[in-house]
Order: sequence, then C-alpha cells, then structure tokens
Amino acid sequence: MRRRTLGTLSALALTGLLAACGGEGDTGAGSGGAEEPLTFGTEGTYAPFSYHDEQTDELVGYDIDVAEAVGEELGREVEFSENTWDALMAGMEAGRYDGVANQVSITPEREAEYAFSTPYTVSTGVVVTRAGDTSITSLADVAGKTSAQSATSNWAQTATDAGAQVEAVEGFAQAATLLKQGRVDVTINDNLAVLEYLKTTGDTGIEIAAETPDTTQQAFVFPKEDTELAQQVSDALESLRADGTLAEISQKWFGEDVSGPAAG
Amino acid sequence: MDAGTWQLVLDSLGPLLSGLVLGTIPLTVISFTLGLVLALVVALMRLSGVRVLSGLARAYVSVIRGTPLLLQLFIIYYGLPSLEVTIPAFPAAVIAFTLNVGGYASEVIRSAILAVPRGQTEAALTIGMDYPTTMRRIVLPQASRVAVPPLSNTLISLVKDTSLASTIQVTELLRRAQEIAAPTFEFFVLYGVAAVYYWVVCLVLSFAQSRVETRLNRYVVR
Amino acid sequence: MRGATGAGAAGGGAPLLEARGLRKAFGDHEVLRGIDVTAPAGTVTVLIGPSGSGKTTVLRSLNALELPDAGSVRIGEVEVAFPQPERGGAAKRAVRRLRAQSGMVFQSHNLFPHLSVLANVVEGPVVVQRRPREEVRAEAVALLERVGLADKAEQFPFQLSGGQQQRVGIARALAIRPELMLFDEPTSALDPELVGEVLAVMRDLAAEGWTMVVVTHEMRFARQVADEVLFLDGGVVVERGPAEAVLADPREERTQRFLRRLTDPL
Repeated sequence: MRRRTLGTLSALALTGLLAACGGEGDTGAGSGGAEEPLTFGTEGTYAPFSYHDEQTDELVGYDIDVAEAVGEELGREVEFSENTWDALMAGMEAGRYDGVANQVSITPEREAEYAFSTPYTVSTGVVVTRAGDTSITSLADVAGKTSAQSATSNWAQTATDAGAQVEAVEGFAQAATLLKQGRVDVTINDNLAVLEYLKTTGDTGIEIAAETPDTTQQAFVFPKEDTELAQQVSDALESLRADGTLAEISQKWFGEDVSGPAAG
Repeated sequence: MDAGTWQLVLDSLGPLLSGLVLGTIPLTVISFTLGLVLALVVALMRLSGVRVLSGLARAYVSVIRGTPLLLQLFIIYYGLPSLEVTIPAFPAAVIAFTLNVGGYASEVIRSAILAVPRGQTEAALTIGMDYPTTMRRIVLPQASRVAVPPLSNTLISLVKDTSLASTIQVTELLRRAQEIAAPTFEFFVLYGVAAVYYWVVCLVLSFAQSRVETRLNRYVVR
Repeated sequence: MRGATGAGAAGGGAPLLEARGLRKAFGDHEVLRGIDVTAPAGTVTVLIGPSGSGKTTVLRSLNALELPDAGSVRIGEVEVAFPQPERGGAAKRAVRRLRAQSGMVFQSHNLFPHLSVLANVVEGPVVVQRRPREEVRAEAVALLERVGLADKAEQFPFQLSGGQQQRVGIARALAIRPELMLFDEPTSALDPELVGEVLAVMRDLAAEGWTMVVVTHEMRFARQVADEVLFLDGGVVVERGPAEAVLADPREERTQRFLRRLTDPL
C-alpha cells in the first residue's frame, strides 16, 4: 500500500525481468518441510501493521500478530525479513523470503502476478482533506483535483480512476504535510492507516472527508506458483477466523473487528 | 518542536548511532578500500596497450557509469538469485558499492596518471626502471596528489550512497531512522537527525582530506 | 667511476658507441633517414642542427626512448637491432639492458619532485640495481659534491634553481655508473646566467674522460669540448668532423647557413 519513485519502479521492472527469466519453481521452498521456519517479508516501518515498538524496538503490529498466529496454526516458526516497500515483492521473487505480510491489497493486477491467501483485513478507503475544507464530500468530488499518493499503492489507482491528478509521495506522513501546505487538495488512503496517524499525532490540520464506496481486502502474498503454501495459509486463516483468534487480534489493535466477514 | 519530540530525538541518538557505526561506516570503509584497488587495476587496464584489456575496462566503466546505483544494488541482490547466485544482504551491498566505486574512481585515477608529465616516466626509464617499478615509485605517488580531491569526493558521496542499501535489507543509518519514525510518524524530525549524523561524518572526511592534501603538496612549488 | 678513463671500450679499437642506419618515421613524416653515429670511448660527440633535423630523435634512439624503425645501436657489449627480433618480455629486457649502458640528462631536468635531491640520486642504484644503500649513499654524496650541491642533499627539487636542478640531474645519471652519458639540450631551458654552471660540470666530465653525446646550441662549448661535431638537417648527417673543422670552416653550404643564423639571427 505504499510508495516510491519512478527510478525504483524501473529497477523493480528489470529485476522482475531477471527473476522471471530465472528458474521457475525454485522460489517455492516455503511450502517445504514443516521444520523450516516460515519467512515473511515485511516493512517494519508501517504502523500499526508492521513496525518497531518505541520502547522495546521489537517488531510488532497487526500483520505480525496475524502471521505468527498462522505459523502457530501450521506448527511452524515464523521469521520476518524487513525490507522497503518497493523491494518487498522483488525480495520474495528472489527467494529471500517465502511470502509478504504487509497489508498488501488484493487487486486484479497483483492477482495476475502472485498467489494471495484469503484476506485477513477488510478496510475502506478514506478521502482526506485539509481541516475545514468542505468542497469535497465524496470520492467523486476529487475529480480535477490533485491528490498525494504513493506511486505503487492501489490508492493511486483509486485516485486516478476518480479523476484526480496524482502527485507521488513517499508515505502518508508526507502526503499529510503536502495537504496541510496546500500543495495538494486531497489524499486517499486506508482508513486504518489514517486513523492510526490521527491517533498518534493528534494532527488537527487534516480530517476525513469521505469514504470510498468500495472496500479493499488485504492478504498474504506468495509467489504465483506456490499455490500450496497459499492454500495452507488460507486454511490456517480460516481456522483462526472460526475460533475467534483473528477477531481478537483485530480488537487488540483497532478496537473493532476488521479482519473480514465472520466465518460461516 | 514540543517536549515529546525532543525526547524522541534524544532517544533516537543511540539507535541511529548504531546504524551509523554498524552499517554505514563499515559499508563505506570496506567498499571504498576494495573499490580503490579495483579502480587502480581498471585504470591500468584502460591505459595498457593490450586492446582486450583496455576494451574490457572501457566496457566496465561504461556500464557502471551508465546505470543507476540503485539498479546495480537491485540486480546483485534480487536479480542474481534467479541465476542460482544468492548473496546475503551486507556482502551484496559491499559488492555493489565496490563495483560502483571502482568504475568512477578508475576514471579519476586514469586521468591522474595521465596528468603526470611524460618526462617523469622517461627519466625513470633512463635510470633502468621497468613499467611496474616506474608506476609504483614515480608515477603513482605523483598521481595521488592530483587524485586526492576527486577521490575524496567519491568517498564522501559513497557515505551518503550507502543509504540506498536500505532497499536491499541492510540495516544502516537511514533504515534505522525510518524504523524509529514509523510508529510516531515523525519522519522529518528523524530524517533530520540522520542528516546531522551524515553531515558530521562528511565534515570529518573533509578535514582529513585537507590534511592529506597539505602533506602531498609539500614538495610542490607554490 | 666507470667510463671516466675511457676503458669501457670493448677490446682494442672498437668504438664504445656504434649506431648504424637509424631510420624513424612518425606517421608519414620521416625524421631519421639513415643516420650513423660512432663515438670512441672517452670522446665527446656533439649533435647540432635546426629544429626538426632529427638530432633529438637520434639521441633518444641511443637509449631507446624512441624505438627506431630500422638500424642498430651498440653501446659497449650490448647491441640491439631494430625492429627487434624478440617479442614481448624478451624485447623489453633487451631494451632495458641497452638503457642501462647510458645515463641521460634532459632539457627539463625531470627530477622526481616527491623525492629529495639525495633520494633522486640514489633511486636508480638502490631500487633498480639493488646495490647496498649505505654504499650508494656515500657515492651519491660524493657525486653531489662533484657537481657542487652536497649541501642541498636534503632539499627538494622545487627549492632549487634551474641550474642546480640540472646539476642534480647529471649526478642522478652518473649514479647508475653508465658507459655513456647522453645530454638532450641540457641548457636550453635555463636562464642565461645559470647556463655556465651546468656547462662547467659537463666540461669537467669531459676532462675526466667520460664518453658523452650532447645535443646543444652552445657553440662555444662545442668548440671547446667536442671531439666530433655532427651537423644534422632533414634527417641526415650533412657534415661531420672535428669541432674546429665543422664549426669554424664548414664545407657544406647548409652548415654554413645554419651557423650563420645562429650567430646572427637577424
């Protein structure tokens, strides 16, 4: 759900090319022996999903807890390998880790490239404006305006589809700054991320103006050919959903259940 | 800045220092040293009369100077595994930075060698020196004087370029700043502290540079 | 000192230096068109001629700083034929052996600026010839005394005047104990008042019996010191003979013209 520059995108493209030219299937080591740890790539700089606790410096977060619960369910140790957002997928494709746990939204483009597990987060997008700006009351109102977005996040697509002009930024904190400075009109992001930002910083310069009509679902990502591992993780998630563990984790972090529709 | 932010800054000084000392500085020192050796070899290859050697050197320099450093890092860390070559993060970063320094520094060294007057080599030849001895005793010592300012530039740039290693999973100064900033969203403040650290290191290097230059210039007419 | 007594000549009568049939072209331009230079041990040979005549190229062929296209150079027992029959490393070694036979003094001294005066002089014998440092040092100090610069031993070239730098250059060349000394316009780059001190040293060397080949414009020096003078023009030796003959009463018209221009440029 995050960002970076064109240069990194092209770097990514080239390495994707190299990775694609390389061995098929040899990155699917993750579904192998149950004794081997299950490794996830994660950002470690994305609160409250994957970040370092201020006091203990330990890697914590909603995604971390869910991934560890999955590991326990599968009887495997879980290890995390931290990386920058734009390199997260490249690392997985290069076999540096088995999957990615970083609030990756399920989109048709990504589904064509990777294997997703079932979702463990459902969220809506929110449109954020300067405090007191009443000109925008719905997603449709962003048409013709400028929006600050991370280049490779799905929210950039949402903004573009709604007719906004996208200004690339590094992350939400930078987007909020541009917004307050008046250099952009809006920014669109995940409601959970925005709420976390507002809660932590107490920033009164921006406010949530509207919700996007669609919800997005976030799931674990695995290499496309690793369908076995994706299935295992999905099964584990459904067990966790059925026995209420997922809801519990969600309550801990958000005070509400955002883990998705109740198992049925 | 409020009290909470100041506290954050103070608390970050230690962790950021560890990122600097355990990541940024070793990366810089090792890569620069290896890179200089490589650069000397490449410069000599480029200057040699053997076409194969000089062609190889020229191609290498062209690739390094013609592609972004970020790309070089990515290819070595994320691209090579598909060729069955998987290198851990820190060594991969060292390799990428070494190759990068080697490419740029070799041009500096080459031009520094060319700057030494031909008569010096001729004098060395007339007292019986062969090519390696001439290089070692006569040309390179004089070339080093010319090479120090631009090479110091390369070194100081490298210190900051090491921040790119964060994209291949190396924990260095910038990455530490991002980790600490994330739960508080105080990115600019922490980037600011990191910037000060970078600046201090570069100041020290600049000071060292002028000391070296003074020493090397002692036999030059003013 | 070797070379000083003229005893370096092989056997009884063969000249110390014999260069035959030297040819050299730079691109299309033929600089040497078949030059012979012969110098018996203990003699001073002076090369004169207008610029572009090839005199410097001849000198630099004697120690293979220029590699002739054709011809041969023999100094003492070492002979190299051009083009060289050997390849690669063997060819380079042959050239180095030839170079070891001579010492050269350059127009612009070419002293090593990062080494002290004394270090300049001992560099060749110690590093290349691997002679013991203490012995070389003593000899170097003696050489510096010979050229009148013993008190400058610890100074650096940049602290010396042009004439002093040239004299150090002479000491440096002598230090490797060559058979033959080559001088490439040694005073041309000096201020006039400094020329004398260098010529004085060269005159002393000649008096000691050193075999010398000198390219110069200093006609008075040539008159006083040279045993043979060669006048070169357009890549050939136009006239050669004893200094008196060539300089005071030249046979060839071109020689006369050149000498006239030297003494009376306008």
